[in-house]
Amino acid sequence: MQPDPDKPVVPDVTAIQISQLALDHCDEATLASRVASGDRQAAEELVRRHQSAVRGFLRVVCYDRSATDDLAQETFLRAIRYAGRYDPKYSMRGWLLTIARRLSINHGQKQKRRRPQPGVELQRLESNQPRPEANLDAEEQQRITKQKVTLAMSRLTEPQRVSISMHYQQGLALEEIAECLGMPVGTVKSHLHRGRKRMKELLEPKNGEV
Amino acid sequence: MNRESNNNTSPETYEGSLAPLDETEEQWVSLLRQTDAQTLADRDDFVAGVIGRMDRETGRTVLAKIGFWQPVAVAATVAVAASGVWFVQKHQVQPGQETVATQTSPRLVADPAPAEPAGDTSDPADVGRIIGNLSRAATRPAEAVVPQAPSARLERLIELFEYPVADPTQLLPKRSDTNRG
Repeated sequence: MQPDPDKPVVPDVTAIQISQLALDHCDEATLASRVASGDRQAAEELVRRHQSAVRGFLRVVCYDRSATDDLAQETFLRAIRYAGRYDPKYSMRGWLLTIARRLSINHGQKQKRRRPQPGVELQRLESNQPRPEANLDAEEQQRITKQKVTLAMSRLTEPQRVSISMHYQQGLALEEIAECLGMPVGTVKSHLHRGRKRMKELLEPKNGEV
Repeated sequence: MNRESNNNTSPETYEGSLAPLDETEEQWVSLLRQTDAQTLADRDDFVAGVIGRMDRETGRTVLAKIGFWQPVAVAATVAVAASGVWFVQKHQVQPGQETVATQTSPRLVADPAPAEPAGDTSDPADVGRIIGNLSRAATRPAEAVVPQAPSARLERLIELFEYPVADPTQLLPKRSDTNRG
C-alpha cells in the first residue's frame, strides 16, 4: 500500500521513548525483575522513583546527617544488586526503607565512638536558635520550626524515630512497618504512641516562648 | 486494653487504635514530609551518582568473578607452552642433520691407526690385541677420558687389559707395590 503524499508524516516514537513510557507505568514487580536482569534504564527509574523517600527517611532517622546521601546511594546499590530477592507482597518503598534503616544502624554503630554526645550536639544546635522575641519572617520561622522538629526527633529512640518516619512521613501502613521492622503491629503502635507523646513534650512552648 | 510500661526498652503491645493527629502534630508531620530544596536540586546528580557507582562496582564484580590471577595464570601457561613449542621446533633434527646427541665421541672411537681387520674375534689373541688397542686409545692424552695422572686403581685396570691373555684361565699375578695413591 503506497503512503499518501498529502498526509503529513508523523514521526514514530523512538524505541527509547517507548521504553521510558513502559518504565514509567510498569509496576514494582516488573521494575524489580527488569533491574535484576541488568536493565540499566530500569535501575535509573528505580532510583528516580524512590530517591526522595529514601533520602528524606535517612535525614530523619540517621544521626549523622552528613552521611545521609552516601547511605542513600548505598541503599539503592544494594537494592539493585539484590533486586531478584524483592518480594512483590511488600511495597518497593518499604523494602528500600528497610535496607536504608539497616545501613543507618550499621553506620551508627561504626560512628558510635566518634559521635558527639547528644547533649553537646543539641547545645550546638540550640545555640544557633534566635531568641523567641526576635522579629523573624515566616520563612525564617518555618526554618527554625523545622530545625526544632529535627532536634526533637533526634531525642527519640531509634524505633520511635523510624516508626514515625515510616508511618507519618512515608505513609506506610502499620502492617508493612511491622514486617519491615520485624516486630508485631502492636509494638509498632506503641512506638508511634510514645514517640508522638515525646514529640509533644519536646515541642511544647516553654517559659512563655511562642 | 493499653499496656504501657515504664521501661522504654521492653517491647510492648499497644492494642488500641492510634488517635488521629492533632493540630500541633499535623504541623510537625507536614514539616517532616516537606521535600527540601536541596533534595530537589540535586535529584539528577544523585541518580547519576548511583548509576556511576553501579557501573564501577559491576566492573569490579566481573573482575572478582573471573579472578585477577586466573588470566595471569592462563597467560603464563600459554607463554610456557609457546616457548616449549618454539624450543622443540628450533632443535628438531632434520633428516641428515647431525646433532650433539648423534655425534660420536672421539674418545669412544677406537684408534683408527692400527686398523683391525673385521672378522672373527673368537681367537683370544685377537681379543687381546683389540683390548690393547682400546687401552692405547684410552690412554692418549688428547682424547683421554682419564685424568693425566691416572690413579693406581686405574693403572691396575689398564695392566689387566695389557696383560697377554693367552690363557684366560690363568690367574693374574699379584702386584707387590700396590700404590693406592
